Amino acid sequence: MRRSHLRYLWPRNYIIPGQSGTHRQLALRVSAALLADSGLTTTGIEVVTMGLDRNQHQGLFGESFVRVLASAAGLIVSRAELDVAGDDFTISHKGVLGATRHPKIDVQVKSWSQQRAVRRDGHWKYRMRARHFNELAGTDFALPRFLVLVIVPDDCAHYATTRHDVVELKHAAYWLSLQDHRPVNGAPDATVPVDVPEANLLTVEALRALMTPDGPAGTGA
Amino acid sequence: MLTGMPAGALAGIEPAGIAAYLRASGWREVGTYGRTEIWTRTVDGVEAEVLVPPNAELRDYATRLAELVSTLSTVEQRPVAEILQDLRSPMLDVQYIRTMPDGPSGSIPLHEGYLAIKGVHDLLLAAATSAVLPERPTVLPSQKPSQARGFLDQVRLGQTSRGSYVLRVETPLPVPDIEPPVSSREVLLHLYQATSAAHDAAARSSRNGDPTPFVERVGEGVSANLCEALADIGGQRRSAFDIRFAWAPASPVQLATPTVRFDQPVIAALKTGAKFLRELPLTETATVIGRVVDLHRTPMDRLGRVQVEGMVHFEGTGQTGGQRHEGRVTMRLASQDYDLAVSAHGNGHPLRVVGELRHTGRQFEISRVSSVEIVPPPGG
Repeated sequence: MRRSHLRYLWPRNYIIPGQSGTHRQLALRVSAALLADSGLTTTGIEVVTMGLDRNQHQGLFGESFVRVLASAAGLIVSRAELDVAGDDFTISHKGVLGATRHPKIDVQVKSWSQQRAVRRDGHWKYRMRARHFNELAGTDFALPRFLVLVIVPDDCAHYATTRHDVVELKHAAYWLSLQDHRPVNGAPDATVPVDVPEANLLTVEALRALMTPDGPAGTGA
Repeated sequence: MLTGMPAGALAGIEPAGIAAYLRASGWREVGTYGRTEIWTRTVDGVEAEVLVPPNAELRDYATRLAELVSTLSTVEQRPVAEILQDLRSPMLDVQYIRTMPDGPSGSIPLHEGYLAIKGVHDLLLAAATSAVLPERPTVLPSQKPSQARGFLDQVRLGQTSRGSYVLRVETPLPVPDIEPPVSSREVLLHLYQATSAAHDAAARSSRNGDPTPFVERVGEGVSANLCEALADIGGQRRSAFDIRFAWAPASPVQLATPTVRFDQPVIAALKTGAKFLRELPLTETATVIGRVVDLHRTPMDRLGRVQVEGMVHFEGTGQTGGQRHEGRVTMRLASQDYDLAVSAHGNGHPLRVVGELRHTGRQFEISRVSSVEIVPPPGG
């Protein structure tokens, strides 16, 4: 009853997580005023976010993890303004009139739960789908692009811990440029092994360094 | 921001077109980042930036393009759809004919739509004809010159758009190194001149009920045919319309060409003006000898306007045959003859012009020039 009430009130352009297979526009978008008008409490939101399945929840948390680091670095994160751009984000500096300015990079964020994650010889032994790999591999891109791998807890209850002086997000993100790799042939859903160095811990400083044209991954040229 | 621009909307947009567009709209290239070119433009004291990918084969080309279009839309405060069209057609001159028929936006009554398209067709044909003819008749010949037909062959009707019902007419820029029978840009500039002259004449004529202003603008390309074509665009209901000229970004036009608006009274005056031009008496052969008092040539017209003050001698055998008048005569001269008029003006020698003369109430006008020469000074 309560849920259908909220659905009715939802503005058309906000996608309800779990309803459309995407969770980009999270329930957080709903304004306080809308909630107050509807007589719903935050419990009302609970009902809806419970609609995220385990993978969506993990993926959303991974993206938000990167957003937190980017905003701490004073950078803007935006979704490609294109309907076919996949899971890519663009990270850039704020420009004028609501636009952006360079330096600017594209990142693809993948999350991996700790239980499944394999770490060996200083590398995360990740496997990604060929079609995602191919969206990152090689140099024929206008802007530098990176894979960002976020290792997250198995249990979503451990994603964030809050105390008075700290909010702790678990666990960590690592970056990798695939510009030296060639795109692979084969089935798009086949998996490709990717070694992400533990040394490439994504920090505020590391993110800023990725943004400079002569940063760790160069210009991609 | 998630605008969800469909990737298909970006098809056909090439880096060269983007560069041409940016250059024409005040952006300048300031450097490179990654493999992109950085272009900036200062708006209200702040510098906006776009990144242009160097080739369409890059795999993030569509993403970069979507960002660019979105930024242009914000900075230039124009709808995304319009920017997409301009980026896709840097080599096209486009006229937008916005008709305002009754009924829901985005549609037009069938018969009105038919008349509007016929009107636009006839308008372009009239402009092309008067642009290529060596004379400026009040009624165009029914057999149109082949160059005018050739021009019309390359004109295309684009997608219509809403608000209320907008026809889009596209003409490609002339291809460099190929000398066409007539330059399409020349015809379209002439179209602008003739259309705005017809509008001015109709506006004046609708105020005082006197159709003579139409005759005074014949030299600029106003003809009965052009006025009828314009009136047709408004349809049977004489609905208001306007014509906007969007010049190819790759080849900007220095002259301002503001939108020309036709409302009901102006359309009514166009119809009256067309009838008046059709009923004008025929011209008579005459010789004019006098000094050049005015010279005027614009990029809008291949022909330059010259005024000669002196003696007019009618040669005909009719009523006026053998008569002489003193007065000022206006004529349109093609390049070589115009140069003669300029040098006659420079050295103060009289000019002798033979042609078909019409008395238009206030002044004499030669609509068809058969010869122009400088009268040598006595004993020279």
